Amino acid sequence: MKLDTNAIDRLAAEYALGTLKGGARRRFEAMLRQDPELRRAVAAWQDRLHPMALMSAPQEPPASVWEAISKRTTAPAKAAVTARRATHATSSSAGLRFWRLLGLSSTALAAVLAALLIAGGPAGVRPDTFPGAANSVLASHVSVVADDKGKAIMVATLSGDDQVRLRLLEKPVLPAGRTLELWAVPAGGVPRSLGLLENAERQLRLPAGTRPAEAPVLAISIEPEGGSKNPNGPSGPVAYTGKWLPA
Amino acid sequence: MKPEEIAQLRLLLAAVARKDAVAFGQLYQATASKLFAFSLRILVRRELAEEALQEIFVAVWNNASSYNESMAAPMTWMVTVARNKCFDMLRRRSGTEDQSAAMFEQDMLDTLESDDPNPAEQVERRDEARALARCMDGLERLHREAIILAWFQDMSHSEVAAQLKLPVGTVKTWIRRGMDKLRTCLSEWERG
Repeated sequence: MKLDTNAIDRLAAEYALGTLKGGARRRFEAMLRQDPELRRAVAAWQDRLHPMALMSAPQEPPASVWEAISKRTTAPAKAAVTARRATHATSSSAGLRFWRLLGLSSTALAAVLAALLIAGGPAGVRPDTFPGAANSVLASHVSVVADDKGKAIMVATLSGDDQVRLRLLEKPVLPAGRTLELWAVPAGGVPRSLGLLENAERQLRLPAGTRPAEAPVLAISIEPEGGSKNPNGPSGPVAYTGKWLPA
Repeated sequence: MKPEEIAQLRLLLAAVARKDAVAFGQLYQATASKLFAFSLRILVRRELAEEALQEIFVAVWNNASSYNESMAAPMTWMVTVARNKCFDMLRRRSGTEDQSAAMFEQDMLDTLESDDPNPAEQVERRDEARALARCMDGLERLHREAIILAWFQDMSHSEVAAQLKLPVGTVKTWIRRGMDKLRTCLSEWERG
């Protein structure tokens, strides 16, 4: 059966809302498996409605819930400890290390660093050693990619024509057979690889769909030689992240 | 939710799909309190909500690899899993929680209609959540009520009709009009 656009949208809305029941629901689900357009329409309605679930104030579940989950998923004790600690902590504990790692709270630091670097640099970073600084007029965005302690490892500058210049501020010591891979992390969709970081400097053109408005975060993962085998994201740990900021 | 938070949840889900147990712990700490509050809304009783939360995260661990194909935002996918698990439990216990729908409904309407959210709620309701709350607010009261009942209580058109003591045809039309209005309102918000 081929449906017109209106029918697709109406059925997708009823399916996402939950009012499509019984045989009609099962038939729709069978069509869903065949039809990406239908799946997109359902996902759009689910996206629209899902905030209804998030309108009440968050409530901390008891630690016993995570304990039961980790037993059933064979998640090791280490992960359990991290999660447990985090559910009891508020803002300052080690349990939130991950969020720092991903650059949420180092945003301010990154902004300051970027501003200094763009302006010509404080002691230690001379303008001529920093590719973005020499022609800062042309840079539209800057990202300072840093580790979980806010220590910068790489600066990326983006010019108006989608050219990115990367400069590693230091070469991290990696285990043998490991390499760094750069990722554009989008607001929607899977992370896109921007290639390996093997030299201190690199230039690249941002592929379509990875401009700062679409992929606001850069991330660097530690991968086996040749990079992640998973086309949809890093296979190793994400060690450094940075947000694109307007220059 | 901010774009970078969404991006982070995507990274975590991709890692959980590879059975990264540490990422799974991080995903739990980032989302469990929200999904627990949601489960409590639906199931009302704490012990049921705790059981549901357990089922939700076991399902997330087992099915994270299917997330890539879902085309939805990461929190949407988690909420969809949560709804399914909560409704499974609701069905298993049908008949014993009669008052919960009515209680819940009033509670939810109060939340949506309140002009004076407390600061915590305001933060929680930024972005899409706030946009949806505003757009729901713009609907006629009964249209809104019908949509809320269907989404939160897994009700069919006829069940919503029975709850609201209205003809099924009327409820169908109202829900469709309400959903059309919601979509228009949300896309206006998206365009800013």
